[in-house]
Amino acid sequence: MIRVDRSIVLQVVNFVALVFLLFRFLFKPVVKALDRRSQLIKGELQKIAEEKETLEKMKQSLLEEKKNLKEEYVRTIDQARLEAAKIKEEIVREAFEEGEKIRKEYEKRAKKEVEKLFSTMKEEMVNVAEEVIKKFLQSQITPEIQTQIIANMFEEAMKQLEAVMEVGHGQRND
Amino acid sequence: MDRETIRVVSPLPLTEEQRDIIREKLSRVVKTGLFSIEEEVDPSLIGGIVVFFRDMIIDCSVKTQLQRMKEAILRD
Amino acid sequence: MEELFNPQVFFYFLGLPVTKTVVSTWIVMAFLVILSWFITRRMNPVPTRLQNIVELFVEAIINLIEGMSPGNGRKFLPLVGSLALFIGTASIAHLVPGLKAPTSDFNTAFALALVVFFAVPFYGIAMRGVRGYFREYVSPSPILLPFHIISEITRTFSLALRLFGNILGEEIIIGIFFLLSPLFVPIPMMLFSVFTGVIQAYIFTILTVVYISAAVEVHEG
Repeated sequence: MIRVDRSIVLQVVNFVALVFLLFRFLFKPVVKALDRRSQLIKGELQKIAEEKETLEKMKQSLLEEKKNLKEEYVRTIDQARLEAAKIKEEIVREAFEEGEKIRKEYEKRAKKEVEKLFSTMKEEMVNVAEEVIKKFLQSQITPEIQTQIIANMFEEAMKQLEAVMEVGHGQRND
Repeated sequence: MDRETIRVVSPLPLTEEQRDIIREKLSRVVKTGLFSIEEEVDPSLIGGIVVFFRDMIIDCSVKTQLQRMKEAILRD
Repeated sequence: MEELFNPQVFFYFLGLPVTKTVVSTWIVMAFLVILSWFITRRMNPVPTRLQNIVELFVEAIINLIEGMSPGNGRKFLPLVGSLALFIGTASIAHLVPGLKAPTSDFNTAFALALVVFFAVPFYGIAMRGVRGYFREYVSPSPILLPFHIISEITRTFSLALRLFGNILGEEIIIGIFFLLSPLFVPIPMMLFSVFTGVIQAYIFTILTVVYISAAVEVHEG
């Protein structure tokens, strides 16, 4: 029933040939394709990982920048606030000084006005008084009083004149 | 020597007595005694006299006294 | 019935009988090679359906070998893969009218077993060296050398007989059915035939991998 004949040699040769043929036409190209695909996938994965890393770095740097900007913003605001406070103080001080100056000016002017008024009033009063006195004295003057005034006042004046003239003469005589 | 003319201004016309007093006093400064008095009336002087002697004015008027008083008051 | 056991001889080639089995083998081989060439002629990065099936088959074989002999999947793939494909295809070749399943001829089964019989020491020596491989035969004691040799030979016979017996038995069953109802080929029997073919291919392949794995395995101490 079971008979081994020499066709077994052909079958061995056939199978060995098949192994080589299949290696050439099937296994080699398929394995190559598989390798290429896995390589490709690995490459893609690596690329993705690299891209992810790049994105992560970018994100990091953006966050950093955002932080810096925020800090700078806060710093600028603070500075501006400080400056504003300074300017405000300055303005208030200047306004106060200006007000003070104006106040002094007005005080001075008012004082001057009052003084002027006072002096005018005084002059008026003196003038009025003079007129009154003049009128009074004119009504009182008599030849007797006149004589007396001449006797006394003129005498005084004469004495002085005499003294002056004496000195002049003496000088001239020397 | 020419006679000197001395002008005397007074508020009232001079009486004889007054004229004498003036003459007597003036003669003390005019040694020669040769002078005449020219009289003038000015009521605004109120009292006293003003004498124009040579280049001098001898003002003994009440008006001037008052004026001086007034100036003194207004000065301070 | 005689035909089943002793296939007719068509002609002699260099004194070797070209039987119906040999011709069937050539047809199966031609079919496999042409199909392979057709599929792998243009391998796309994105596989087509046929390419996908081939790739799955190759990967399955590699995984099977890796499971028993890690790291050797690529090395054993041509022999193991060829065995699986050939036995699987050859075992159902008799479904094509006029063809005989080559594996139901003991010459074919024995030829395959002989290839494995020589492939085992071939791989063993290739990977462990002559000394390393033959040391197995005298361990743990040189007294066991004859037993090792007998074991090698008997397992080759068992491999051949197992394949031959199964495929032949199945072929006989189908042959009987043909005799009983020559016009009506029962579909269930054809499915059964495919099933047996695949099973036989699997068993033969597995055993081959086991033998080769054992031969290349490095025993410490």
